[in-house]
Amino acid sequence: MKKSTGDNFFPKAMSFSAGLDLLKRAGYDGVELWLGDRPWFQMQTTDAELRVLARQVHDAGLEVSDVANSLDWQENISARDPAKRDAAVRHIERQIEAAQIFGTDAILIVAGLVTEETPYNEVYKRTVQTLHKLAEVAAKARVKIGVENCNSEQRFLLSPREFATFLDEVKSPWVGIHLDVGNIHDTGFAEQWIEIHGPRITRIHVKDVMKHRGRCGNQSVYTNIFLGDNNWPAIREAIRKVNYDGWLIAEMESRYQFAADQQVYDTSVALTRLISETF
Amino acid sequence: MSTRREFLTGLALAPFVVHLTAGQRAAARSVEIWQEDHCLSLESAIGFRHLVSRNPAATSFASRRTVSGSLIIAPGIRWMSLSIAADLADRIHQGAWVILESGLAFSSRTESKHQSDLLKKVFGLQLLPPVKVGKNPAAATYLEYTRPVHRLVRTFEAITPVRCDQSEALASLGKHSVCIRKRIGEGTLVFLGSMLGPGIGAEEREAIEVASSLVMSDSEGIPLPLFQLVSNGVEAG
Repeated sequence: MKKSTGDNFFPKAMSFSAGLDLLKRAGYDGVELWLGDRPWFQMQTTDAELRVLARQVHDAGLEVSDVANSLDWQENISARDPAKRDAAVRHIERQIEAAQIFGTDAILIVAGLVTEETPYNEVYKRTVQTLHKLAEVAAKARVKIGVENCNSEQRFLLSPREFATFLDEVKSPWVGIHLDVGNIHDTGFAEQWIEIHGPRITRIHVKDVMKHRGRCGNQSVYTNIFLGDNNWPAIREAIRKVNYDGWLIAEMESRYQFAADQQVYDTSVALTRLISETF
Repeated sequence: MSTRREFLTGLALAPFVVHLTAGQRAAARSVEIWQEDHCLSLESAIGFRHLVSRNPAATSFASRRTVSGSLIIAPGIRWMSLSIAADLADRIHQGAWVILESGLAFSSRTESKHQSDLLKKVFGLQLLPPVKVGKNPAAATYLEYTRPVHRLVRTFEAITPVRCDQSEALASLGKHSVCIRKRIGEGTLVFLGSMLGPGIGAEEREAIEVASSLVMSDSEGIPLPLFQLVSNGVEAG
């Protein structure tokens, strides 16, 4: 397995190249690039500029593990507003194009947002329908769409079986799950999600979770790897069980208040411990 | 020697025979699922039944492997009588391929001891007392099959370890051998010390793959690794 983390994990004000150097020094193999997050990768960033980013990643001795986006929370494929839905389709298509330029075969999206105004059944149907169309684009590009399980934040696809049914209905080998083992909170067990989805897992996001906090308090429910309530030996065994040998991508929400780069190093070491099963 | 009727009465069995299409019928006979009258056996039988129904190719392979043409699956066994066990042993001697799945982990200590003694007497199986699979995070929750295919499969709360030669071992949990394959006469006994049927029913991918490889050839009728090992003479046959 290979280690990666997002460019949104770079300490604030750090440049792209300095961030890449930091990741390399910390022992990562790759970087997850977030469309719409940092200034170097926005919707208006041109293909030529993306190729420059790709070269910088390569020159730093890294690979692009996948292309994520931070735009789905404002523009989602499940939105009622057609303009927002179209915008969501556009930025996902742009992720696919960027993935091709970066030489990676997977993107991450958050598909479907249930709100008080937009009910579950409506979101479900619209999300499946839109993914049918996006799957064709993904297939042509040979880039897999990984639908992330942001269970609590999305209020959507809350159980592994429902998620599997959802993927069955999308019915495309080009659409799978970008499984975040920290996002399951107290509604289940990450290792069981891994077991159920197995070959449909496109990438794995890694973080820990404080299950007792829930998502409604004012403290982050997420924390550093090994500090929370995830059963990491069980997660590691499940990864072995399903023969997943792809990228492990750290995603930290709570940040160190001081020495921000230290968290990048510490997270890399934690990923190595996880991979090597030394608990 | 017990009759088939005695067997059915003794276990309150619900035998299941796979019905084959006309084309397959000539080459194959049947798969029998011998089920005890308790929910554990029923649940496991449903899993195996689903597997076998979905893959009728299993029967044609079984018929080639065995003199009698029988593949017998006995799921979640907890209280098999001596006469029934002897009947089953006789079928194996004649060439049947039998998968005997233990349900002993859910029996009382006394029942478990009695059944273990019986299985030792009839089949030469040396079972150890059932072991609960702990909740210690460091403990593996998966059984590691090394043959016929290498897979990790969820344990079913407890296991029944079995002593065996290394050449007979199919799966283990830590230091315990849990599943074995023994040649007996013209036939074969596969003992499963951890329940596999419920995992099949629950659509556990790896459980299905292991069970499939235990009971059937692939769609082309090509034997899977376990059987290739036998034909290569790596294992005592």
